[in-house]
Amino acid sequence: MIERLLPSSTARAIIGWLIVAAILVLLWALVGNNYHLRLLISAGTAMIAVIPFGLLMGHMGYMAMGQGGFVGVGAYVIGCFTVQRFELDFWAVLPVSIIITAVLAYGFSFLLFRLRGYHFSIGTLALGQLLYLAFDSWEWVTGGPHGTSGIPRPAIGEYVFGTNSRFFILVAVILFISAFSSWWLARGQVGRALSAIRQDEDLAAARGLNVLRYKQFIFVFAAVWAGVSGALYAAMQISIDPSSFTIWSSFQQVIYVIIGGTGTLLGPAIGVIFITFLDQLIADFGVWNQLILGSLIVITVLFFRGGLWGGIRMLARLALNAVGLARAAKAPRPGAAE
Amino acid sequence: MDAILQIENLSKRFGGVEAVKAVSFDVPRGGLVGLIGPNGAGKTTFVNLVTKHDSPDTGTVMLDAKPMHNLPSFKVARAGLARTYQKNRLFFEESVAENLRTAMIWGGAAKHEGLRYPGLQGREEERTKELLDFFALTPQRDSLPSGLSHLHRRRAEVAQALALAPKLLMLDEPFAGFSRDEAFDLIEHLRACQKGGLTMLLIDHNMEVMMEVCEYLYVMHHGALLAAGTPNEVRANQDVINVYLGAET
Repeated sequence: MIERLLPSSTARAIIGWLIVAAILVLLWALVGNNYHLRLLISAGTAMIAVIPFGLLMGHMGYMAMGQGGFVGVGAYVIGCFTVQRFELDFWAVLPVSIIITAVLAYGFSFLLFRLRGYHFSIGTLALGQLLYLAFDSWEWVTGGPHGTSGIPRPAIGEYVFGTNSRFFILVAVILFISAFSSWWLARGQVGRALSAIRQDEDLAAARGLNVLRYKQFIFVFAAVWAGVSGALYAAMQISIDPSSFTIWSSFQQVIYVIIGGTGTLLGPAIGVIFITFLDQLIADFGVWNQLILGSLIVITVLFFRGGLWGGIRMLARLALNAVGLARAAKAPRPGAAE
Repeated sequence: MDAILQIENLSKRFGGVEAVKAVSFDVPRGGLVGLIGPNGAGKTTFVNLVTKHDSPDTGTVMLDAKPMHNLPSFKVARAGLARTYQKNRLFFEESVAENLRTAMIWGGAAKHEGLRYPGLQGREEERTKELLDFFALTPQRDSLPSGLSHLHRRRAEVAQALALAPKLLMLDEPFAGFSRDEAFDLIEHLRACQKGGLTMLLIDHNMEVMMEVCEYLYVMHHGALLAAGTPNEVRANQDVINVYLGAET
């Protein structure tokens, strides 16, 4: 009954992506306030990392707790090559940043994927901390505790992404690519493999799946997007220091996914939007805001196993069921008297 | 003897426990061979070592004269060595048909010459349909494993293993939780596959069923090979009698 009310999966996908694009364009056109634009850029930059991270954590079931480290690597490579040690162009450095993040993630993946479950989480936590210590100590590259400042805003020819309005365009385009590439992977063979790994990775291997290759691929994929997010963060903030890439920044990514909903692409995005705006709402509560945030996480984990997106879907399904039942009740019964 | 599987000196130690001790044996091509032993004999560890779910400390495993002991488990599966598990395992979020299709995609196209059992010919959809029909699972094709009876789940698991188009199938306690009739129903299906060229190694501790079903038996006890022979030879072996009847001193 519900299926008849919904368009086909391809049509749904096209409609969905058109809506995403339209929302981004509308936000750019309608939001004029600099502060609100800054919030949107912040949320967009986080989403660039969190949506691919959702594949690793939600689809594959590996809760990495060191993603903040990869955000930092992306940011510091930009900082080091554009201002700290060299004066190269942002667009020339971005591929370098991607390659360095990918190589680091690939190298560590051999060690980390010897671990599973909580052990893997602890391993990634240690990696995140290790990277943080490197940012804090390796002054020649990072500037140490004082960080790197004077990072230039990117430009294409004469068009400098200098204002928040312009920078939003850059973030929106890259966010679209990040989300689309994650969706593309999730719907095909990679998605099927990730889901099988989450369900039973020994069985998947026994049925011929190269489990390690898929785990490494998605770990590197999530790390690269975390690095790109860091690169944009560095360009947006102009100056960066290690305090932005602590373990807390890694926890935040996990929280976004849990609050928004695991196993879907929209869930983590909803998590980012929700937490960003909740942060604003409870900013005046001082020390109590962390208590409110913590309580919300507990409530979500206890009562909404699918996160906020799971809750929304459940409500939509109930509404569609109600519509379907109402239609069925109105339809004349076969054989009923005219 | 034309051995499809040759195992030499396979050993595994977990801390102070020697779970498998220098086990060597061959499985003849097209045979239905059994590996029996009481609980804790090391049978499942042995299966895990052969299929590379665990790495052996020493020893070699050759399938069709090709070494398996230095390959990861997914390559062992693709080489034609499939297994089932003591505790029934399927992808619980996928339908029965999807479980089969998944194995077909990852295992590669049916490529083993000389095999003729169900589910080898045609495209994925035809192969899936043939396997479902063979195991009388067509009415359950769109069901999730959680909605299946124990019998149907076990059949689906065997069908999924066969979807890999293996040369050799290792079944770990396939009759656990089955009545005698259900066990022999599964055996009939397995025998039909054997006629189609499939070699099987059954691992169980149910002496009665294994004696009736298998052409040749190996007996494990405390991680080591205790005896080998035809069911009649094993039945008459004093060491086996001691282990199973508790007369060991």
